[in-house]
Amino acid sequence: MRVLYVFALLALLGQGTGEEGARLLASKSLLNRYAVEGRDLTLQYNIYNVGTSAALEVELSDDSFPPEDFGIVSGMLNVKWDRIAPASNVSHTVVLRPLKAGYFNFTSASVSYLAQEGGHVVVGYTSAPGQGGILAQREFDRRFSPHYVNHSSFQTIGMVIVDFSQRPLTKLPVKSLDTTSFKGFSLFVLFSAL
Amino acid sequence: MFNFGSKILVLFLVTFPCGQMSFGQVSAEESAEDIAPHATVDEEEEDELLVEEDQVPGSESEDDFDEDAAVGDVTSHPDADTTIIFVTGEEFPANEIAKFLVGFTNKGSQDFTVHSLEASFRYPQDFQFYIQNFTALPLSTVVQPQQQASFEYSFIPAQSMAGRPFGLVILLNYQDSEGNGFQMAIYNQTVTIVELEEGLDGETMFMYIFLTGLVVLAIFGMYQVLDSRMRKRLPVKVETGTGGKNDVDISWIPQETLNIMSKASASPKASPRKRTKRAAGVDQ
Repeated sequence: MRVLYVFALLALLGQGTGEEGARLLASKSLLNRYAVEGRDLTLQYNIYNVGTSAALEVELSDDSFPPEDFGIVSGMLNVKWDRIAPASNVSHTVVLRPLKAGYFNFTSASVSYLAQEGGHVVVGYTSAPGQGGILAQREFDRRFSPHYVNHSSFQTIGMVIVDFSQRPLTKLPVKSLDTTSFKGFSLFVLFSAL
Repeated sequence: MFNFGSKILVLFLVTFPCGQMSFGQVSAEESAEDIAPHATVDEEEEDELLVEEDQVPGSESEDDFDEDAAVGDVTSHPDADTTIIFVTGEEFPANEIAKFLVGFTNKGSQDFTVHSLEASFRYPQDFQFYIQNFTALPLSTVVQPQQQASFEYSFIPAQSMAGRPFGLVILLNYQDSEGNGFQMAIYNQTVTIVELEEGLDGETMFMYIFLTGLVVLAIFGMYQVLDSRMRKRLPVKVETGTGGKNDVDISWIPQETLNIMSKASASPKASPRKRTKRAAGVDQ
């Protein structure tokens, strides 16, 4: 029995030396599968309060996106919440548009809050998605666009070639023309169209 | 037959071991008090004794569960605190993403550099035996004094692990400004991977269709067998045609024609029935 009492006392001590008040954990994540220049890029911020009391005057600010590299489509990069209740979470979404292609290091945003009423301001950082590549428009289209122009031009040129190859070559009016010059003409048409 | 003395002796022999047991309890209690500050509440940890003795248990971690460093030689810094929250829930379904957030607080006055965050599945009865080691997340993040940082990590338990318990160990590696390495076990418990109950899926639906087809085939087969057996009892009528001369009734033919026919029967030419020789392309 005495062992149990000792354990209980230590457990209480453990609680006492732990934190009271609010404790916020924040994550920042990209919702896109591909980040493409000129197309919308969606970011989601989630803030979880794992503490025992509400977090007050929560402010999330993200200044890791230079305005010349990213345009804002919707949402704000500086958000404030008056209060985040304990054991609850909030989320915020921002839609950006990358203006330049290349590698970009997505770094953390900062979160500041009061752990207790009248306490000092606690500064924290969200999780960082890390380095990612922003595809150029052309590369993305090469992989994912419907390629209408490519398919239709292939069809027309292919039909032209097949037409020419079907003609009976033995009954040409000019006998000096042989088959090689006709094949050359078809190839010339094909390559000139490309 | 036994006298009173031998009865007393027997009684003493029976009660003597019980007396020994009570002494044992008292001695165990005393030794338990000595080791109480260093004991863990849940699983046995073989490296318990290798943890530095001068650390106060309260400062090791602020979680409700006492956690020890999994590796014997690096421990956790008293100025660092961690919390964890499982974003996707406390249950871990197989083949689904399990995501968690780790919060790191620097309570001290010097910078900490968080190096990496790693997670692994261990054998539940022996946490030193690795079953699966997930990719470590390289962080290399500097956390300044009195500031906090969050780190996100996600993993997918394999489908074959469904229904089995594993020890999930999440470790955070960091170093202080002098370059001393530290490691903190953020999560060190046994979890059970659950299997999601799927509703009607394509595979199950087609299996039922296939079984229905088999049953129909079986019924049809039985019907065929029974049908063929029923038919064997009825006499089979076979069409033979007009073969011999006696099958045909020629009484309707007028008598004159019959006379001509009987005369002509001598020569094979007239009656096609009686021609036996057949020669093709012969002019008569």
